[in-house]
Parts: sequence; structure tokens; C-alpha cells
Amino acid sequence: MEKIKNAIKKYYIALILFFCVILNLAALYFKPLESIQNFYVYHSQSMYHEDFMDEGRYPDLYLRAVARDKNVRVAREVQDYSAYPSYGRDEEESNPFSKEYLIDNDYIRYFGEYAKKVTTDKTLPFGEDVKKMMEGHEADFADLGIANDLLRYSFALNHEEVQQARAFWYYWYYHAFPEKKPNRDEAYPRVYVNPDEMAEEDELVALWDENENLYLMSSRYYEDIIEGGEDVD
Amino acid sequence: MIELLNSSLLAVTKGYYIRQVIVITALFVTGLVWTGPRGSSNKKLCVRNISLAFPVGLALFSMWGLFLLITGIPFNALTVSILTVLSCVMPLILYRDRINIKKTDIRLLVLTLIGAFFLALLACSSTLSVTIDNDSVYYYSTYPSILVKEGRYYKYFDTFLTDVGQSSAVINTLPFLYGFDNTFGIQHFMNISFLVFFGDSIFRMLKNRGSEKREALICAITAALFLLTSAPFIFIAKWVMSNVYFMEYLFITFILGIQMSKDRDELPEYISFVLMFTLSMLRVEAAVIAAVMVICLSFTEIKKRTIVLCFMVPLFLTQCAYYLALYLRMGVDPLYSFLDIKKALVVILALGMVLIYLLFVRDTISKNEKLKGYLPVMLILILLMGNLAAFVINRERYLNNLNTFYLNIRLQNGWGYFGFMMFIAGMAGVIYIIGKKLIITDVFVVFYYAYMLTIIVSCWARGGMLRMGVGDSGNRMLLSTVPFTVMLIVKALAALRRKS
Repeated sequence: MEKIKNAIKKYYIALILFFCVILNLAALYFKPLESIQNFYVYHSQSMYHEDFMDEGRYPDLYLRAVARDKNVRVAREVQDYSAYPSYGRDEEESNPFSKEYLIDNDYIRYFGEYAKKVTTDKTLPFGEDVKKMMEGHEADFADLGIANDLLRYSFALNHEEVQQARAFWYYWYYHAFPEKKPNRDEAYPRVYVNPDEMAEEDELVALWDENENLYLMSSRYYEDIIEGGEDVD
Repeated sequence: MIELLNSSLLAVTKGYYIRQVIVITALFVTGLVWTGPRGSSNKKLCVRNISLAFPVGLALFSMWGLFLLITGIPFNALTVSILTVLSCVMPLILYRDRINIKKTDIRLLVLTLIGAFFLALLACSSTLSVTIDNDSVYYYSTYPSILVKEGRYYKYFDTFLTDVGQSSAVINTLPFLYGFDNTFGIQHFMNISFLVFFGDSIFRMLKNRGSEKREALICAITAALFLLTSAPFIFIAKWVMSNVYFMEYLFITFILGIQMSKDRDELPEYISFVLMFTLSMLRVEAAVIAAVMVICLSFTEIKKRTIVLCFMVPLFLTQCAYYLALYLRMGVDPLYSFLDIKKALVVILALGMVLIYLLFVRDTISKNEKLKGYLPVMLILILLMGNLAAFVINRERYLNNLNTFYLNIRLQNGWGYFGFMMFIAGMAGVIYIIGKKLIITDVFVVFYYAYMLTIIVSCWARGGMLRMGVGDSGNRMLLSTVPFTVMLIVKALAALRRKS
């Protein structure tokens, strides 16, 4: 008994701390941290996790991983702000900013940042034509979720001194875009990817419609299935 | 479809694992060159030096990266690697008389390196989970990738320049410089290093208070386990954000500062320079908290030359240089940001006042023993007055923030039952201060309260209201105080034995 008393006296700090550890573990058991926030165990070395697809979040993490060593074909080149009607009129009270400046250029700048190379192919469809071409092929594409944050933060990729546009940029993708829509998330542009052969192919094709829904696929898939009209095997 | 996505990701990320492992090991070795040589007795590599190797290596990389970006010199894998490696020559020259190859325990050194490599393999594997959110993806992954691509700061980085901790951003450039995609392994390895350092700090503290070696060791291990299993630590340690680096570097820098006040020969002083350089830019409010830490260290016996050159100079220089680059050279002025030029000027002014205090006032006051004894409580009073001023200027925001802090703790938004532990630590500190009749000699106690008060006023100064939820910025800042709370609890328990 005396020995136990002496041991407790000697190691009481450790005993109290150990008791606190048990309390911690009990607290974690009864209220797991996963009930407050999502924790992810990764199965690849990418920052993209497969759960993001169900959650509809961070599609850009997938895009940057697959585009890294690839050539990406897009329909147009980047247009300077001076080519748009609101150029020189940013300070007007009515805020007449040409949103086409963002729609036309954001994805091109994005792939310019993350792909090995971006090439322009003027034969590729653009805007409304993309929607028509993609009809009937939806099942081949994974819906990775909304692209508004990808687009919102792409201001840093723009070397033009368009401060007012930057504020508009932020505001547009965060507030104005989904305005008056019943479901906020449904209003935002989405990212669709055909992952088949994405890793093996050296070249990808990126198309986007007038609502900035992005469709990314391998060059082979685009040429054979979308353009060529073949059936998927 | 998920299988196809996963297989495509696995294919494109081949080689990423080993690259991150190699980078971690390289940073560990770099840091070990700095922390290895110690003391004129050239003692064996000890736990402290090994545990500091990776944090110092990472801080070195971050320091040089930030240097390149602020000065406008091209920032890329080559330039930052050359600077980081070349800077390893410095300790080898400065401490060449302490390095004796014949006396060096080569076996221990090799085992340490092998151990670090295998720990890096574990840290980068998929065993340990992480949590990420918008800030993780955009502020601490997308922005760093853009930094690497562009190789310098540009005005159009806009809010990334004013709302992001730049040292944290530089740390997160590692994947894009060296060919992988995330910093999970780096973060886990940092956590492991920190836990070992924390345990070692507890061990040394108890030994200094008269505990036997075995008892101190058992307490150190249980204290580290207590920290490791607490909800606040798990959240911050696993969250891919700047908070984890700030929490760990703040604790390390402060403890090393206290150590330096007692044993100047223990570790090279310039390690503190590197740590302070990185710490001061880890978060937007880091400079303010670091300044309060430096003031607390000034209450110890730390030499003036050391505290000015190794702590205050890097803090002051980084802030001045960065704000000059930001506002004068680049002319950054985002419409919405946490940091604007007015706040920057206030920070510079405050740091300038701290520097003047250290250079001209501190030594004079220290000669008066009575006055010196009351300095710590005066600091707490000044910070209380700062909080009062914030309350008077904008009562609604101040009260809302306080209430949000309280509710986040009470409703266990990331806290578990640890709010109760903070209460215990707080009460222990109050009892100590009253018992000492306001003459506080333990700077750790002073800093604990000063840190809390600074967090409250920093959150107020940031603008906007805090919100409910574990991800709220103010809540995360408070969660990051967990190592200090655990340390204070252990100190309080040790003090009980002394009393009895």
C-alpha cells in the first residue's frame, strides 16, 4: 500500500495526464470529429479526393492534376479587355462590365496556368454550339461539381490591370451569377470530365458553353465520338 | 466513373510519393546541419536537435523563398534550392571549431537519417487523414502554384497578397517546385517533429524543476499524448492551412527564446533568426502576436543583442520589406481585404515602438528590480486597455466576437471538452499571479494571457464579425493555443508538488 502511495505521489502528473488522455479518447468516441468536419484519407497523391465528386467540390484539383503534362486544345485565344464593349467604362455608375470577357477567357487562362501547353483550334465549337454537340453524351462524363470558385480565383491569372473587373469578377461568380435562381448551386457553371484515357493521352480538348459549363475530354474521344459521331465502345 | 477517375489520378501522380519523401528528407538534412552542431562540448545529437531539424529546414526554405519574392529575384526551384543549400555553409563555418568528426557519433547520425526517411515514408503514405476547405485549396494551393508559375509577385495577385500568410504560401509551393501535388506529407512530418519537440520541452521543464529522469520522461510522453488526442490539436494539425504552421512555429520559437535566456550555448542563435523570419509572415496577424511574444521574452535574462538581432530584427525587417513591396513597389489596393495600408502602417509603428523599447528602455527598467518585476503584469494591463479601446470604438463587433468565441467553445466546434482545460489553465495562471503578488517571473504564464488578449483584439481589428463554426478564423486562432494550454497545465501540476 505504501509503495502504491509513493508511486502515485511520484507519478501523479503522469497519472492525471493519462486520465486526460482517456477523457480525450472518450470525447472523440462520443463526438467524432468527422461529425463536425470531413476528414479525408487519400488513395492517390493528388489533392483531389474521390469524395469531392459526390460533394460537387474542387473540380479544379482534378483538372490541374490531369492537365499537368498535357497539351490542351481550346477554341479561341485570349482576348484583351480592349476588345470588349465595356472597355474604358468601368467607372460608370451603371457598371456595364462585359461578362463575356470572363466567359471567353477564364478557362483558357486556367489551362495556360496548369497544362503543359495550350493550343488554339478554331474548328472547335464554342458557346451554344457546345451544348448542342454534347447532347446525348452526358452519360460519358463525370459531373465534378461547380466551377465558380475556380473561375472566381482565376483573377490572379490575368495580367491585365483590370482592378474593377477583378472586384466584379469576384462578385459575379460569388453573388450575381446565381441571382434569382431557386437553387444556388444549380445556377453555377459545372465541370464535366470524361476520364477515359485521360491519363494515357497526351492531348486533351476543353470545350465550354455560354454558361461556362466545362467539358474536358481526351483528343481521341472528341475526334472519334463527339466530332466523328461514333458510339462509345 | 469513380474508379475511372481514381485510376486516371493514380496514373498521372506516379512518382509524386517518392518526390515528396525526398523533399522532406532533404529539408530534414538541411535543418540538421543547422541544429546539429551545438555547445562547445560537442555533445551527442539530442532529441531537441533532431526534432528541430525539419522545422528549421522548412523555415530556411520559406525564408529564402520569401526573400526572393520580396526582392523580385526570380523564384524557382533552382534559385531557392541554391540559396537553401548555400546557407548550410554558414553554420559549418561559424561553428567549425565545434564540429569534430572524430567525436561525432556517426552511428547515431546515420540512424537519425534513416529514421527520418522512414518517417517521411509514413507521413506521405495514405495512413493519416487530412481536412481541407476553400482556403486550403485556393489560398494555400492554387495561389502557391501561381507563384511558382509566375516566379515573382505581381500586383494582380490582389487579395492573395493581403489576405494570405506569405510564409505559408511559400511552404505550399514545394509541390509545384519539385513535382508533386499536395503538402500532406510535409504537414504530417512537421506535426511529428513538433510532438517530439513538445515532449522534449515538457521533459526539460520537469527536469529543471527537480523531477527524476524517468518520471520526467513518462510525464513528457503522456503530455504529448494528451496534446495529440485533444480535439483542437487534431483539427489544427490535420487542417491544410496556415494555422498548423503558426501554432507549431510560435511554440518552438518561444520555447527556444526562453531556453536562450538561460543557456546561450545550447543552440546557435541564428536559428531563432530563421524561425522568426518565417513565423512573422505565416499569417496576416502573425507579426502582432510575434511582437507580443518578443516583449514577453524581454522579461527574461535574454541578452539585448540576442533579442534584438535574432528576434526583433527579422520581425521588423520582414514586415517593412513586405509592405514596401506591396504598397510602394506594386501599388496593391484590393477593394476587399483583411490588410490595408492603414493597418500596415499601424503594425509598422507598433513594431517600431517595440524595437525602441528593446534598444533604449528595457535595460534601464531592468536595473530597477521592483519595476522590472511588474513589467509582465503591465503588459497584460496594456493589452486589456487595448481590448477596452476596441470595445469602445466598436462595441457591437467586440461583443459579437467575444460571444462567438464563447459559443464555439461551449458548443464544441472543434473543442471537445478542451474548453474546460483552458478554464483550468486560466485559473491556475490567475492563482499563480495572485500568489506572486503580481510579480510574475514565469514568462510562459504572461505570454499565455497576452496571447489570448492579442487574439481577441486581432480578430476585432481584422474587421467583420466572427461566425459560428469550427472553420471560423477566430475559432481556429484560439484552437491553435492548445500546446500552450497543455504546457501550462503541466507546469501547474508540477508547481503543486513543489508547494507540497
